[in-house]
Amino acid sequence: MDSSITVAIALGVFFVWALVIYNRLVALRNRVANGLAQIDVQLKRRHDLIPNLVETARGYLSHERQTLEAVVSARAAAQAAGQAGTRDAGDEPAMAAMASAEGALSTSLGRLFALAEAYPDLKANQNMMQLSEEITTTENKLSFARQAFNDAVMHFNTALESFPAVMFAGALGFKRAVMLAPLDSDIERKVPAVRF
Amino acid sequence: MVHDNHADPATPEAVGPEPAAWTNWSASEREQFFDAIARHRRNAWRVTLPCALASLLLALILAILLAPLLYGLLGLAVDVINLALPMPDLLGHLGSMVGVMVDSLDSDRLAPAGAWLRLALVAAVPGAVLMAAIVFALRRALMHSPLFHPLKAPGRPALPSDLNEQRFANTVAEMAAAAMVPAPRVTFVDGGANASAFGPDESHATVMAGTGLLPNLNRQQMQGIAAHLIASVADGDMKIGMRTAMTLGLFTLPAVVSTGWADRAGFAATVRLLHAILLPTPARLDRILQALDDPFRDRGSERDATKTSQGDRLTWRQWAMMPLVGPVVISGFLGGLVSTMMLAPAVALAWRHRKFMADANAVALTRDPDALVGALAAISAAGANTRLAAWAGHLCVVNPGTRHDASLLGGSYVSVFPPLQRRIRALVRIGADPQRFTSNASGGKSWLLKVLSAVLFTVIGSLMAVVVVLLIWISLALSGLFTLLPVALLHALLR
Repeated sequence: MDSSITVAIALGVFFVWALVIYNRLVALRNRVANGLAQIDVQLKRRHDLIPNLVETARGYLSHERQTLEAVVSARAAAQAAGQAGTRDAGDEPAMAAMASAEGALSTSLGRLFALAEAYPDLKANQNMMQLSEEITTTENKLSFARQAFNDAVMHFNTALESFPAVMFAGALGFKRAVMLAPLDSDIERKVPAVRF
Repeated sequence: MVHDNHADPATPEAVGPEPAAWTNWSASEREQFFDAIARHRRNAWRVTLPCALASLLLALILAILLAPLLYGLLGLAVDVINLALPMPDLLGHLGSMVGVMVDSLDSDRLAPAGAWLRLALVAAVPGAVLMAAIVFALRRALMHSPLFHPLKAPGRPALPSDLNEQRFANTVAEMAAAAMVPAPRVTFVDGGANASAFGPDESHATVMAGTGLLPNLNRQQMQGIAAHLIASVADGDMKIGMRTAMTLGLFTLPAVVSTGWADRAGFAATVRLLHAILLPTPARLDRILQALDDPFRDRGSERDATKTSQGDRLTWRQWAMMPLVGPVVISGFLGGLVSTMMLAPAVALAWRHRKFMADANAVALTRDPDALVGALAAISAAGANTRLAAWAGHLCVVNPGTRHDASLLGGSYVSVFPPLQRRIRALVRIGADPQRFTSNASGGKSWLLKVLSAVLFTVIGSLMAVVVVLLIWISLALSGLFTLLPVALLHALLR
């Protein structure tokens, strides 16, 4: 009689323990998904800002059509890659394609802002100053959202591979999440230098 | 990866990030600030948990001390109803229950511990119900204060024409993205170089900055300030602050009530306070908040004026309050004393650890220890007035410097803010530029200070233990004489 009660209590404790671990994994997985969604939000915001920027700059940079068009087409490419990439944190090729398209957009933006340096009228434009602060903050939000996503992935993967969870997490359908690679090629790493 | 770290403070219009290479944090550095966060969190809980247990114990003791009055009133009410409608004899039942236990004190065979525990729990029930009512009133009052009520918070949004204010609002949104919390509302008030974050929960937070803050900071430093505030929001400081304020208020309010029976003015104020607790309206709730400010604030000056010398004769008011002396006045004094002398300082210590934790968390969010250190150094170097709204004191970035720097957290003699130099030293430990750290305090002095304060705390602690036991006995004795005796007489008359 006594031993059966002990066994029941032990089973109960084990069950509660497993439940706690499972819930923690679910919470961390949702945090990863949320992190990805936040990156998506910031990317959209960045894409939305670019037409404004191009419009403001067009009046001053009439001789630099090529650069402006490069920004516009890089934006279109990044938008398309983003739609494919932010669906699933586990889809590595799509994520890589998105990162490279966003990197190309950063590069072309960087060229635009470098050009703008040479146009004092454009630099002094109130609209342009506001826009450059907007773009700076959007770029920052993007990088902080990436950082938050990578931290969330790190915590999730650590929880997934820690001892008791590692035995049953796979069976319950938890997969390792993939961190966003740093924008590591030289071209991609350049940031738009917004200097006014 | 732009974190815009190198904008020149001398030219505030320099918005742009340096295109300098963004370097990854090495594994060991990352580890350090995650470790620092964990360490500060552990330290905070090490103080908070004993505080919570002590509060529970104190509440239980106060509830038991209130029992003679509450059961007396309840029993007499039952007796009165009994005149018209037959009711069970509550007082007789309780009397026999207590009698058995008291008799066992005299005889050789002491009643078992379980029986005493049962008696204590039964005795605590009405007091606990009353305290729950007080807690709900306090919660409502606090929720109505500008600290938690979004519509009551002062301030205006960032001016579209002011690039600096927009920049600060932007950095707050950036940090919210880094912490994965919804971006809080950002408001500006006329005030010193300080900022605070408040609100009922993390998705309804407001960041309030004094207009004196921004001229001192560049974008990187704004980001550090924003990161500290967002870290505090994401860690639930607002909720913990409210719970703490409620706990301290629970012991402060009875102290206010206990000091305000003796004369007409105090009596009227006390009645208004009780009214506010039992039937709250917005205007009355503000009165509760005022009462929380300081339980033993000297209200005597106004009282002395009304007090007329009547020699040794007691006034009818003093006679009428005699049954209240034991259960309400002494126990209220006990609660106020313990919460002011012991709980509030301990809470302040825990809160200091939470400040350190928010600092470390800010570094985790910005990945840039220099950001916050630069901001703290800039504020302290500017020697600016750091006063902001007093009610947000404990949630500010730096000590607002008023005496009641944490009026909601008890306004104790221990500040809820660690000294700025210690915060900077803690940040240097997780990677900030050591150049910022300019303290020349010698190690020996702080060592001596620690020993002295440890001795002081031991002395105060043992004195308090004696005083607490004495007060409990005095309260019980007075309750027996002046509360239970009249109740027993009335009971005998009614039954």
